[in-house]
Amino acid sequence: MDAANPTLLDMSDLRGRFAGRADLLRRVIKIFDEQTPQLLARLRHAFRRGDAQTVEFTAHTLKGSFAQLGAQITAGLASQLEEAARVSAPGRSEAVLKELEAQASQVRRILNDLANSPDV
Amino acid sequence: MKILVADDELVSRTLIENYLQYWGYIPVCVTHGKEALEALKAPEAPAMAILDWMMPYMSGPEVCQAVQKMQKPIPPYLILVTSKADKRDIVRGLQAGAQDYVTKPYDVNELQARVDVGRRMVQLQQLLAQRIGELEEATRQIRQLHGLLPICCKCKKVRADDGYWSEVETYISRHTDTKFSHSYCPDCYQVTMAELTRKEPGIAA
Repeated sequence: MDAANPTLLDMSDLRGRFAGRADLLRRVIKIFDEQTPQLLARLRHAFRRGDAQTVEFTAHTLKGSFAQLGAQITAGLASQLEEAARVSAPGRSEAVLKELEAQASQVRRILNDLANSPDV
Repeated sequence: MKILVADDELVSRTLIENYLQYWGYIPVCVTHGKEALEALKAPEAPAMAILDWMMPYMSGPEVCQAVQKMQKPIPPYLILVTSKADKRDIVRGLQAGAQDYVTKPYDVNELQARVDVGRRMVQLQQLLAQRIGELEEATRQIRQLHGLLPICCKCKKVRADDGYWSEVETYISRHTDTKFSHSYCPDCYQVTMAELTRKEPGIAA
């Protein structure tokens, strides 16, 4: 397994927003870890079916949760998929979707490491 | 104060729910726009709502429009949360009836400040509504004093709002701040003195 790219997460933003609220950060990381694979599966399925509306909606949801947890670069990829789906051209974004899936697993790993670290 | 949180995305909803609790509010969470509208229609509806823009069944702006049509005496204070930072979208959200908006990812302190502004606005509206109620009651009473008042042509008692007959000074005292000091007018003085003189001839001296 490749090492996660730490630059995918803006740690200073995350620590700033959750200062003194380590419990809350651990809780939302757990939620994020559980919901992200489901959302990605829904996104992939809608993408295969050419269901632009579901791609747009699911990409938007992913964008919001990545952004809330300081993963702005990955949120940007979700935003690209959302925009492409809005103009009804999700099929052209296969490479973006693959990159989003790859980054999402890295972001999950970094966040899980953070949640398990004693100095959250 | 209860605040409705409407967001289909669990991370964002959990965050707002917890922040609101930290700040002393009571969050009421729902997961889509239709549920949000139902909650805002309820008799004990939250006075403020934080609505995500994109939600299943009804979007945040659609909820705002539906709330505007409800024409509540004190409409809820609506904050749209959106990752749409485009100025045209923000204008569209405000035109739909939202009072404010925050963009994702939001700054926690900014969100708190905006929620606090909402609380002050709601409290101000509630105070104004209470004052208007008091003024309407006062106006009703003044109108009543201007209206037709049944009065007995013999004893001069008047029939009050409760249907009971009372002395005219009692009625006026109850409906105004007027206090009565009793005395004789010149005509009545003459009549009364004449009666007394007739009954007790020596009294005039």
